[in-house]
Parts: sequence; structure tokens; C-alpha cells
Amino acid sequence: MFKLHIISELKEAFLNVKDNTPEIPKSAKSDLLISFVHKKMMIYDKRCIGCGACATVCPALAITVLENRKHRIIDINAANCIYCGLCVEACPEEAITLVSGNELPSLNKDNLHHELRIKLKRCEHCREPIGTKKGVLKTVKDLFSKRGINTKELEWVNLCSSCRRKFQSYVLIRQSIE
Amino acid sequence: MVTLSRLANTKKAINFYHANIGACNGCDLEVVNLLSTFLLEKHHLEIKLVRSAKNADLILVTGSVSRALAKKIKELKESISGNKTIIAVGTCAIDGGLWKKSYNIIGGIDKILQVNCFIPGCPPTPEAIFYGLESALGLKKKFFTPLFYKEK
Repeated sequence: MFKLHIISELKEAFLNVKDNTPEIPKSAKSDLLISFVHKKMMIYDKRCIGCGACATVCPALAITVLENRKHRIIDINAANCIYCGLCVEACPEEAITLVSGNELPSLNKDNLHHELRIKLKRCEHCREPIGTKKGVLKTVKDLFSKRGINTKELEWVNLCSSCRRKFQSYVLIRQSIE
Repeated sequence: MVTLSRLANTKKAINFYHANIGACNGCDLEVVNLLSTFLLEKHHLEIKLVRSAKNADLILVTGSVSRALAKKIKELKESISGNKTIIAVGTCAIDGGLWKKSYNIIGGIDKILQVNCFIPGCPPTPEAIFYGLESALGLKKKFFTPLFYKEK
């Protein structure tokens, strides 16, 4: 009788604990808060749009952004990473995540680099880089879903900001003359 | 390198030296955790803590190298280098870590001594350190694989 009494008390206590625990969402972002041994980078290379948001946030200067003639180079250095998870929160495409486990060691220091090369988009008029192809596509899609875009507006997408201003003023002056 | 693998085969105790050169004690605690866990017993590796680096076979280095300490390490360089495996533990020991661009820090330990194995992590867990130790001994052959992606 006595044992049964204890067991029923324990059962109640466990049930109470179960009721009080918050629901766990399944995304990787919320997993970060729960267990701390998330010390392995996972990079989904095809998702990356090369915006460079991770590089601006990184406190350890582990991520650097360089520009080539054709590509934007994103260099992720595992030797400098402190696994804080700020880049995971900053990334708009969820291209970088931290997963449970440990990073493997290496015998060569120069081997500890991940490198992503994403194609640049250049201005059609002056050939200066505007951003990446995927990034421009993403902004157009976002704008299109929020408010419709005219076909005239899509012409301005391929130009850089200074060229856009020049052409706009040219058009306005022409209209006023006519 | 050769002597250590022979030691691992003959199951003798490895002379072990832990050098803290300006670490924040995060990595040091993990190294102490490694020594106190049963990981070593499980894999039949015996470790003997040694007082000086001259007698050691295996040296674990934690922390970044400051400019003042670099002179002293260079003085000791001849006695340290030789038939010894040196393992850099944590981001600071590899490349300076958070203090990489500070004026008084020259970078990782590999600028002065020849390092055999680099273990990333801030701090790395005891399992990760043990895995690095095994790979330095030549028992494990799976290493960090860098990713290279080029959009077409």
C-alpha cells in the first residue's frame, strides 16, 4: 500500500513536469537554445544567395566576403569560428545551420576553409556589380508577392542605383518637353 | 610521430604535457574533463602527466600566442621540437581566435612550432579532443573535409 502511494505521487509529479514543459518547435533555430553541444557546421551550398548578412554579424571575423570578376566569394573559416550561432539567425535562406556533434580535426591548417562562389549580377549600362543573381531574383520575388510589379519597373532591376537615377531624370525631362 | 604510434601499439604510458599559453580556461577545463572520463580506459590508452615539456611525447597547447610569450617559446624551441607530437586545441591555438586582430597577439602556435593536429571548437568537447589525439596517433583516418561550391 505504502509503495503504491509513493508511485502514484511520483506519477503525478512527472505528469506535472510534462505539462509545464514548453512545446518544442522543429526548426534548427529553436534547437540551438535547448542543447549546447551543437558544434558542427552544416552548409546547404545551393541555398546561399550571397547576400553577406552572415559576414556582417560574425563577431569572430570567421566569414569574409570578397569579389571576383565573375563571382562573389564567401569564405567560411572553421579555424576562427566560435559556434555562437549568430549567422544562423541572420541568414534569410537558412543556408547555414549548426547541428549536434563535433567538428573533425585536420592535419593541415589551410584545410579548414569552406568556400562558396556565387555569380555576380552587373549593371547593364555601366557594368558595375549590383549584387548576386540569386539575391536580385529574391528581392523581385518578394516585392511581387507583397505588391504587384509593373513590366516597366522590371527594366530598372537590371541597372545600378546611379544609372537608374540618370535614366529616370532623362525620361522625366523628355516628358516635360513634350 | 613514429614513436607515439609505437607507444600506442605497445600499450605503454604516454608522457603528456598540457601547456596553457594564455587561454581563457575553457579549453583547459575540457582537457581536464578528458583526463577524468573513462574515454582513455575504454580505448586502452594510458597517460602520464609530466612536469616539463622536455620529457613529454605529447603536448596539448591551448590559447593564443602573445608577443611577450613568443620570445620565451622561441628560446625553448629546440628542446620542445623533435620527436614530439604537438596538438593545437581550440580556435585560439589554431589562429588567434577572437583576439586575432589584437595588437599584442601574433596568432596561433603554428607560427613558432610545427603542429601535427588542429582541433577546431570553442571549446572543443572531450570527445573531439580525444578524436584529435587518436588521429594524431594515426589510429583514425577521417578528417575535416572542406566544401567548395561554384555556381554555374
